[in-house]
Amino acid sequence: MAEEDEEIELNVAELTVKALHERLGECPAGAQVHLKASERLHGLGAGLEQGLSLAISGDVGDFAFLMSDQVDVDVKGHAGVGCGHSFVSGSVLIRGTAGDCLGAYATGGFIAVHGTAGKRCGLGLAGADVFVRSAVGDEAGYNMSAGTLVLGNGAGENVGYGMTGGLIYVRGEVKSVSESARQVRMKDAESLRLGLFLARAGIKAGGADFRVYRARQELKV
Amino acid sequence: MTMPSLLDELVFAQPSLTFTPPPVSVNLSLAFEVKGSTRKLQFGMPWFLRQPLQQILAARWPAFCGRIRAHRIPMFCRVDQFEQVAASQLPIRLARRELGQPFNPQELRTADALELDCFNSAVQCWQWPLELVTKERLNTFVQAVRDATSSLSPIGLSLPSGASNADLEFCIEAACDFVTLVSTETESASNHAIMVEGLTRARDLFQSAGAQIPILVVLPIRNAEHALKLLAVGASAVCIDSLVNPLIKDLRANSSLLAGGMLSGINLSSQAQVDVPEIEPTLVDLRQRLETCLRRHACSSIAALGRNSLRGTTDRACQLARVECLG
Repeated sequence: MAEEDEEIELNVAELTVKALHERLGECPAGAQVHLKASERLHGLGAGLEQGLSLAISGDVGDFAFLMSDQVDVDVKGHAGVGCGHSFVSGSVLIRGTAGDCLGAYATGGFIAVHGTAGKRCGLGLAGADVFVRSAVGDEAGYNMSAGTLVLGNGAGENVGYGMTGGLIYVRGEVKSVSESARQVRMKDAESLRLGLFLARAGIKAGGADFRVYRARQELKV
Repeated sequence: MTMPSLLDELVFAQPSLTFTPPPVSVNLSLAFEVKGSTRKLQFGMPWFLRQPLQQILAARWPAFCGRIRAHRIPMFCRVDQFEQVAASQLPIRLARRELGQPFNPQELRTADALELDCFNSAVQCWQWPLELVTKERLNTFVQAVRDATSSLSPIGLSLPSGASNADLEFCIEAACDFVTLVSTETESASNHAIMVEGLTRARDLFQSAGAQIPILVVLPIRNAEHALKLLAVGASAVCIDSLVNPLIKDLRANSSLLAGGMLSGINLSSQAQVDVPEIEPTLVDLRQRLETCLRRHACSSIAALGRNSLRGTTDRACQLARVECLG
């Protein structure tokens, strides 16, 4: 497949996000695009939907990959606030840290962060899978309704505040759990699924060390 | 007994009789600029529908859309509500998304304009979402939504009718293309007073900041005259649900006869021919009243119709709408 093998390199130093998106829009579906991000561009990748594979060296700004669909992104740097907001499908890997509200309202796809993430990680999560390997701030899983949030190194205060669905897996210390969430026993199927989830995030570990939290009152949609 | 509305305490002033030729033609349209783009969205009339009663209209829905389109009135609708509507009957579609909910790309990209709603339906109150707590962040977010929708559609923010100056300044900083001031669903005289005060304040604030931001008003008005007065106070477009929807509710009995009676067996294509002529007089009346009002006040466009054309009949009206007293 010639199209899928195509590799394109773009230097974003002199491009606005709009101009960059126009250039990306010209790329064929399945193309591998290498971006050199010399500054934190806000809204980078917002609304991308043509099946691109993006490798970004450098940091991305706030609300990167908002509403993106069918994109696979590898960021060798940090991400700002609201990374993956309303993400639809595909994957985002942040090798550095992420700001507050990682994966907010994401409805599908997979978002992984190797570093730390800020407050309200997985805010309003609505079906996507979100993984954070290092520590996260308070109120992880705030108002989440569906999807999976996996926290590899503990969680802050008020985990699962207002959650009405989905699952939160945590390994390590949890400072406090909100009244909306409750810890449940991990079933074998969930453990298996978690192992696969971790493998997808590049983590060679089983799910045995994790605790599971569900909504106290699940809202059936 | 219905309490008097503040809008009833405002009257259009008699213009001076000194000779000023009335405008040959009046422009009833409203243009929305899309920031960072040369695109403009044009409303044919300064009215819009916010909650069209699709379920009650049932088979009449496509014809209803066609009539609304013919009058060039935009309508808030989900994209799936237009599935049974022919392209030739599609009105301008405005999309509305709550800020604290997932965004649907298809919904947003196919809309002619997009409103980001600050009302949190989960807790039934107005609030900025937790991820947008600073002006800079809101600005970045609006810009990201703009980028995600290819900068094709105007993006607006909806606030409660009595929004504070700080919240209105938030909208200016966010560089949104329009602002919607929304009153609560239930009609009450106090709602009208809050809206008039809030609209007056918002228009003055935007003008003093040099921001030409159109303001859409959602308020249960009681008659066409109220809509004209709101335009004069500072609205760019007014929701006419409260004038159109009661006419549709009157159709409910006929609709149930259609659904349960001998016509229930006819196919969808035949049902789609069922028209709604009942709304036509109201829409024509609105247009004619607006044209007459603009000509009377020598205004060639809606933007030229200002508060100087209004007078207050009570101290309260003069104070809240910042207009001169009658006489």
